[in-house]
Amino acid sequence: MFLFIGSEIMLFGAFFTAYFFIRVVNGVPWPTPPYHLPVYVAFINTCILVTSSFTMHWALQSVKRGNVWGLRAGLLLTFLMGLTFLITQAREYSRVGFAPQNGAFATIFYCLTGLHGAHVFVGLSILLFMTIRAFRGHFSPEHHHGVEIAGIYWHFVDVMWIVVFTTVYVL
Amino acid sequence: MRNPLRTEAEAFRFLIVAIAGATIIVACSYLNEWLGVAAAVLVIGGILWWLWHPPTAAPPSPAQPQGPRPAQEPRRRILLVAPPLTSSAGAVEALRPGIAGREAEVLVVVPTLGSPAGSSTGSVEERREDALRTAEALASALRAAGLEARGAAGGDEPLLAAENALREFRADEVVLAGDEQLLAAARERLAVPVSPLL
Repeated sequence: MFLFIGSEIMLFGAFFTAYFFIRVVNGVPWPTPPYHLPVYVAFINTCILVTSSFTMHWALQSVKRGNVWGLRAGLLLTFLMGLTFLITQAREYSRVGFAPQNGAFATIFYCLTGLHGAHVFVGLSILLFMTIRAFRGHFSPEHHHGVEIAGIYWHFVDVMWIVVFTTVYVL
Repeated sequence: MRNPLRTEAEAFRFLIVAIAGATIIVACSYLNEWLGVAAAVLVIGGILWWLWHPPTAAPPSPAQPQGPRPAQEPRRRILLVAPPLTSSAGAVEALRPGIAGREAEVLVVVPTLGSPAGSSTGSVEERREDALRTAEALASALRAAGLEARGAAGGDEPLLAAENALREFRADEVVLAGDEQLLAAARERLAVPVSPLL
């Protein structure tokens, strides 16, 4: 797990270094005029993603108490909210008005949000398998390690989004 | 060092900390840019301090008076982490005093004791089979002694095997075979009482 965390910190750290270099060292205005970032949509998306972590936690607590329907509902809700986040982000890309080749600002914006989006996609793939397995009755209060791992990954993805949203959209 | 992603509950708690930290930084930034920078330094420093200072373990509770236990006492769940070649008779004798007069469920986990390189290259299968055989033999001996027991092969080393097993088997106690150094490390890392398998 430490290797995973270390590799993820280095991966995101490289992108954030580029971001701070562009914004602070080079002093590029953020966002570069005439572009605007859809902060309101991103905030709603953030709320959706954070809520999905709460449903993930609820799913885990449910299976630990033997509530299989709580597990299924929690996983399904988490998956649907994650999917909503990803679809909203894709729509945001299509409407944001700039492309990755439109300067350093645009490049790092797409790199950071895209890197996080890739993590959400991986998380959704894991969640999909866990949801299918939950509906097939593969988990019990004693055996739910797969859901636990999926939950850890999902919360990690959420933590990274909090950092990305705060630095890229809000500050 | 605290691993914020050790369990789902800890990862969830870390997310809450991250949200709180981000909220403080954003609020301070709106008031004043440099106040935001100061808040960011403080919050990041605080999180790093929190990560580097794991909670100290609660002091052990005073010894309970010995004697016959009441019949309605709940069933005890014991995680036995034993290396390969542990003798079945020794395991039974080690567990007997702690469960005298009450029902117990035992999960026997035998770590594969593989090297990290061996594990990553996939050459651990043979050792896993050996570990599973030992675990089944130990569990069988415990069942013969009247306990409810099952065996499983664990992670590459005893502490990892114990941690993984505790995620699925909520034990009241861990009985661990190993030297004092290993037992001390286990008492620091595991959230349940650890006793030695003599």
